[in-house]
Amino acid sequence: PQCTEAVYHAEYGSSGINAEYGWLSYNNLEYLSKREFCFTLNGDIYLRYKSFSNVDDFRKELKTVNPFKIMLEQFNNIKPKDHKSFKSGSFTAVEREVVFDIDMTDYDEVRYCCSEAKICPNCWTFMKIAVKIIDEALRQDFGFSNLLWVYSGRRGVHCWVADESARKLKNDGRGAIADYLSLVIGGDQQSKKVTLPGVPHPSIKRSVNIISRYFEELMINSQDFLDSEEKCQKVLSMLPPKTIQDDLKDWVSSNHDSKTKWNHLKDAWSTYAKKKKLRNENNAIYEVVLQLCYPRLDVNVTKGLNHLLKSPFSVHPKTGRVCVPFLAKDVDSFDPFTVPTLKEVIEEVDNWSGDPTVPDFSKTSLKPSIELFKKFAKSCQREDADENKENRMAW
Amino acid sequence: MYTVPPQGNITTTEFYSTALDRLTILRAIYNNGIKYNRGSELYHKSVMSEIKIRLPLRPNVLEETDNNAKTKTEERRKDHISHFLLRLAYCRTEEARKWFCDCEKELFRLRLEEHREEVSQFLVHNSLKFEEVTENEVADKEQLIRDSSQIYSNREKIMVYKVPFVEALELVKHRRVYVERGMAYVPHTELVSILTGMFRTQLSKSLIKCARSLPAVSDDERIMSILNELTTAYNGDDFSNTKLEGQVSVAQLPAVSKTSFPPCMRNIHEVFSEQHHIKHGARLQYCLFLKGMGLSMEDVRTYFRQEFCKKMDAETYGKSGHDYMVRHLFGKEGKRSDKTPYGCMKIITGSGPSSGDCHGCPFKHMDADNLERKLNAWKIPKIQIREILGLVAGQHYQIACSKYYEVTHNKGDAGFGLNHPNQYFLESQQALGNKVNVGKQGYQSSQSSSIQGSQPVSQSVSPPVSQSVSQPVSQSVVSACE
Repeated sequence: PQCTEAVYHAEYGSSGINAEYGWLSYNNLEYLSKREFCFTLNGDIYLRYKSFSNVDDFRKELKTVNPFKIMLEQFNNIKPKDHKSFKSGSFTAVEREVVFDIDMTDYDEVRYCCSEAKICPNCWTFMKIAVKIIDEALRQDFGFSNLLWVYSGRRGVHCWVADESARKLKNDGRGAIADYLSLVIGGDQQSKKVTLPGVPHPSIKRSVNIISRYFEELMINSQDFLDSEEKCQKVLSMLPPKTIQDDLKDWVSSNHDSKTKWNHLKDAWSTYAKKKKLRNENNAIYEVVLQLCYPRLDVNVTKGLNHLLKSPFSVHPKTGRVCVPFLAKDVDSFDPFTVPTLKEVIEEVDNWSGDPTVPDFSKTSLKPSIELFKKFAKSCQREDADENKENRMAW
Repeated sequence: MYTVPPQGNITTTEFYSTALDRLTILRAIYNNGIKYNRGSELYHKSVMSEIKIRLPLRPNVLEETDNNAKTKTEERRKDHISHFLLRLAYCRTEEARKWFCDCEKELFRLRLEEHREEVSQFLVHNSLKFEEVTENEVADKEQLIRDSSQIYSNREKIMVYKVPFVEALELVKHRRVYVERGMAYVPHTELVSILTGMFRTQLSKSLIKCARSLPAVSDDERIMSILNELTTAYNGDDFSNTKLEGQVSVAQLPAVSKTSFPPCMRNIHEVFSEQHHIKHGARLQYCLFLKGMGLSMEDVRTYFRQEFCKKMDAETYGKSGHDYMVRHLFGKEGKRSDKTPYGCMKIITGSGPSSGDCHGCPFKHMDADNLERKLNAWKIPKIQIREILGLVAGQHYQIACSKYYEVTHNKGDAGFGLNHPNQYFLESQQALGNKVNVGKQGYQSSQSSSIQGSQPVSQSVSPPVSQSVSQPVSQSVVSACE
């Protein structure tokens, strides 16, 4: 309803926005005025090319226009709101955070508890694995440190990489990172989606290690991934074709539990590999594990400089949940099912009985999320101000 | 590295012939890249022979008693000039620039690899310095580096360079290099890849600058007419102008999809008809194909709406943005740029399908079992399926598709080099007896003229200025190339 959203945005404006402003502008007013925002109104009307010269303008516009979704876009070379007065083609995206989008529906092939838009604590573990693997890779391999992970409100997560070097990357740089992180390749007509060439790259070895911490709990216990003939056939097709598939017809139809069958499968492969004197004999098993659990990114989101993405702290239109940020290192304890909805937040503000001078956001369960976000924004500003990058604290 | 444009005067005939020689090489690189795999023996042999004939370039090593000094300089000059001339011809559109960059980069790579021993000289000559990794650090990370770059022989000592990862994108993209904290540890064996990457970036930037200065030479008619000849004769049709005589109607699509659609589009059509839904990649690929076929925007909009609304209600479809996308692809929204239908190269090398998708090239993106099942369902005889699978295993996707064409049209030889789904459609329709309307650029179908693929150029296209007096080309051309 109109009034509650207005309240949210007034609050969003006053609290989150100060921190947000700091981040969005990287402490530089000129930047902010060249940043494109896109407001989505009720009725799916998109207002693009919005830009603001300062925080107050932004707040004012938020209150009057009352969008229910805000998406953040790139920095451009001229103020987006003036774009119509320039020749087409001269208005171009100049910099933008590198973003990643992981969506649970892409895992439908390998998760058996839910499908499509539904998620549950069991399959959420796939997300935990994905966050850990990608976070490590971005930090260790690419040297990025200002990462913001945000729950997308329903069935996935986004990651914003705000380091200056990341923002300046062109499409080919983003594409290379996305491809580096893509291992599960192929559509529905491709049964075996992971093939390792020779010795696995160190980042892949690291990923297999991360997955192994969760594998038993996820695939064996909660997903029970070998408890039917169909499931077994699927896993068999993830092994190199025309190897042990024919020998395992009994295994497919046997009645053992997933754990036993998994051990069985590994042994069968090991015997086969020794017999054929294969190099890198563990690769086949890694390939299965990776196809089951390795992060499945939507590469198109990462590759495009002008891909619009929901702003943190937006409200998901279908669930009402707030898109809250969280720390990758705390992903194991992050519970998407306890993320507050807009309604709950508003109730919390209304029911506040403590110190009335406290800013609205402190009255709600969003407080820790906002604190987290403020820290992130500060870290981004510090990076830009800092000449000496060694001094930058790890965020 | 082609940083400095050539100076001087040349005749218009020389202008045309050197540019043509180079273009023939680039064209050979492109075509052979389709026929064979880049990197395979056959590819290498055929391409290198072309290069050696038309634009040889021996390394600029000055020997004491160099009898070949004069020819070497001559070679360099020709290579230098032709490169810059072609920049003029291929800087105008995004597609042209991309094609040119890809082929030039490949030419550069081939030449570098041919003369690997000269690489360090090349670095010196172009003042390129890469940071060498200290012995200690190499020792520390040796196993990681070896694993990433697949260096197996443990005997040789490897020299490693440390570059920011953005300069090693090819290697990063394919996960073939060790990266740590944003730096790529590149063994000297992979230096060629870094140099090629730098070459391409630099060329890409220069081309855009070139496009901006093109107006400066556009009033010299001699130049412009040559440039036009060069580009249209060799870029191939982009199928925005050729149409069938008589429209294909939406009602005919199911039948036509079985007879004249290439497998990629037939597949999308089937999925669309069965599930009443296709995802983004397929919508793009299919809609542009239909546009290339000559369907009107209204027809496509209606078709999509009808099909989607068999499963979703009209209101949701209205909100979905699919209708907007169709209008956008026909150039009626947003930037109003006219989008062209995807050719085979783009479909094969572009973003492939992931879960829930049905676009792409079936020969590339389906695994052997699924492909076999599909061909079976389409009533292709088993023997031919086996042939097709063999071609696919050798990564000859377009030839496999041609084979499919031959089987479905009862022909021993397709008679054309397949590189575009709309081309497949037009050829098929012609073979079945329908007439084709030739558009502005003059579509060369296999039924009419003889210009195809690797035919020698000079016979078929005559330089339009051969009659005029050979006049020196002005300095303005040079400055435009910078």
